[in-house]
Amino acid sequence: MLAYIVRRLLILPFILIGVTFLVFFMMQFLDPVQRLAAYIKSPEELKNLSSEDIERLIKRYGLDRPLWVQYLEWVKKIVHLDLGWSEVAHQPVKDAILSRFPATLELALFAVFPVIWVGIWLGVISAVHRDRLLDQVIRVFAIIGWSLPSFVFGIFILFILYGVLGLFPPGRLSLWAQAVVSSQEFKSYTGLLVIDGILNGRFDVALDALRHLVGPIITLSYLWWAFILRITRSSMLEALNKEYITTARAKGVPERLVIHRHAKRNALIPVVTVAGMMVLGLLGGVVITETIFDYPGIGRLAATASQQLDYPLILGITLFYGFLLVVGNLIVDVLYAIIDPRVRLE
Amino acid sequence: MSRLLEVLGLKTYFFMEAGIGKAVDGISFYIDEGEVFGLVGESGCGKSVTALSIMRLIPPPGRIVEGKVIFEGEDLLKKTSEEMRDIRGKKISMIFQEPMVALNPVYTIGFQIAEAIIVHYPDVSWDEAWERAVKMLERVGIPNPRRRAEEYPYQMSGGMRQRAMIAMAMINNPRLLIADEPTTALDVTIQAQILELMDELKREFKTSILFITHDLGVIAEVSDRVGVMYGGKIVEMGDVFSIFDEPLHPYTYGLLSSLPKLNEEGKNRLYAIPGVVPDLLAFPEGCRFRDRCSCAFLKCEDDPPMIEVKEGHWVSCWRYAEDV
Ligand SMILES: Nc1ncnc2c1ncn2[C@@H]1O[C@H](COP(=O)(O)OP(=O)(O)O)[C@@H](O)[C@H]1O
Ligand code: SF4
Ligand SMILES: [Mg+2]
Repeated sequence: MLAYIVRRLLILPFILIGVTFLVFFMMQFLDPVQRLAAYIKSPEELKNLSSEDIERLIKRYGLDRPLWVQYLEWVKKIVHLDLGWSEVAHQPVKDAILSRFPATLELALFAVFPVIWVGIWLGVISAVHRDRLLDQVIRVFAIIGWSLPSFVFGIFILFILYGVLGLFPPGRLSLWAQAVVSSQEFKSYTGLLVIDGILNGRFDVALDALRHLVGPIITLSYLWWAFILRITRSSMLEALNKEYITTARAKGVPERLVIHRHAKRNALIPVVTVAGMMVLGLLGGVVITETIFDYPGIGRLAATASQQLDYPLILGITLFYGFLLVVGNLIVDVLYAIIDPRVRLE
Repeated sequence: MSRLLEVLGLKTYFFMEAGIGKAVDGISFYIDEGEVFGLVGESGCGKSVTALSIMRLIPPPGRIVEGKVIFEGEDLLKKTSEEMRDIRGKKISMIFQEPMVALNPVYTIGFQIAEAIIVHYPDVSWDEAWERAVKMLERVGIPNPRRRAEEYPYQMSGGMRQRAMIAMAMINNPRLLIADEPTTALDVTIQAQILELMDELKREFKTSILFITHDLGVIAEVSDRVGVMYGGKIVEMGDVFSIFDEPLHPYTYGLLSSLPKLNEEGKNRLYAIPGVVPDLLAFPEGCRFRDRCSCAFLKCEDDPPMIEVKEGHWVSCWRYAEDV
């Protein structure tokens, strides 16, 4: 197991180099002036830019030099997390990403566990009760979740939770809580407000952050658990048809264990892939849900950056997302290996 | 010898949209203690369904519609599902054709054998069950059993897997072992080793065996008595010598005459019986073998009765009915 993880970690740098290659390649579609945008460090610099300055900067950053030199220079920069200045966010790209990502991470963390747990649980029930009433009911719910556009469902949830009940407002924090969090005494340990709130002993802040999370979580969960459920159900049905299930029954294994020990373990293998995709999708930001609930996540940042052609920010987020994908895939692979010995000992 | 298992008029049908598939249609046979009963017939004739019916593991849309399965004097078809679960793997166990797919790929061999103990004897600790699993692996001739127990099915060869499967089936010392084509997927030398192992274990554990195969050569080697199946029915039944020396049913006759001399080379025989086994829903009325039988006559449009031609030698064919 350890050897497997080490082996996977050893190829990690190569994959990362591949990712930077890819992003760099995409950058070549921009002209030097557009690319130069990624080197501007502050708004002042931007304001006082004359066309000679631009020429000078192009020379200075070597944007007219051979490609491989440019690539090495650029990699050197990103290794130091120097990703340029973002016009849209009015701060360096690094800070823009790092300030939004915790919000996205917090939302993803709270959404992922209910989604996966409920999705697998209902998927197994659905498969075991195949074509009977319980299965039909679960599937109808799943199909609705599956086919409902998130902007419709999200607005509906916002309307119920906030409009009707007035309990769960949009945004990330209430104004008073925002003031607390921005104050000197409030230490930011993780950037996740619920956890920071608890660590600072400000349970009221934690609760406030949690209240703001409810709407997006429900929206994301409902859309995603249908996805997990479908995969679980079909792979569970497949597993239940396998001969080793007959073997298990033939040796007197109780039905509960036949399902949860013998079939489920095998059925989870494809679920891991889908769950991994889902987590990565959530971490990359969920533009529509974030927009509806006015939640300051990375998805909205990326959307704004694209709309306003903020190249440094787009490139920064692309790199960041590439990095996430690589790490995420590594985790998925390790999970595979835990579940399926054939992968581990390959 | 006392009677261990008696199957009486067992009918197992599959209720499908296209019609009712009478996979097993009124078969009767018995197995005495310490005996090997061979069930032989072409693929699709209902051997596996018979085995799964005894275990009460018929999947929907299949259902046992009639009959009795008397085991140790009690009808298994009347047991509750929990009683039945406790019988499976403890008093009756089963091995299958393809141990690669019959073993769970994500659990170790040792775990799967130990589990067979734990589910019947919850008081036994996992450590002890594991020890017993290792001992059993050793007994079935797996070298390095302690290390092998930690391995997964895909790490073993076909022969080793089948040995592991046998270890799993024998771990609780069952009274009856149902072996459904246990050697079909193996090559000839391994096949011989597995048969020998089963023979040893049968003597050592005094287990009766229901041995299922489509291979007459194997049947001749292992069985005390034989049932020949065709189209969901047993068409002929008797001790192994009667069946091989004086086959009565035209189907048995066909099977045997298409068999090269048993101790000669060339196991790839082709059955010389004309025609093919029809689809389950397309068997003729009356004798199911009628459209392939060269002796068929008018009477054969009715169901032929089971006739005891000689003591212990039964045949279901109108040719042996006295009043015809
Ligand atoms: N799950 C099932 N659904 C429908 N028909 C089945 C099913 N299992 C077996 N049958 C039918 O029952 C008949 C006997 O099958 P089986 O007992 O597996 O034959 P074999 O003698 O080769 O073991 C076949 O015609 C098969 O089509
Ligand atoms: S009953 Fe008739 S058709 Fe059937 S095997 Fe006998 S002779 Fe042939
Ligand atoms: Mg079969």
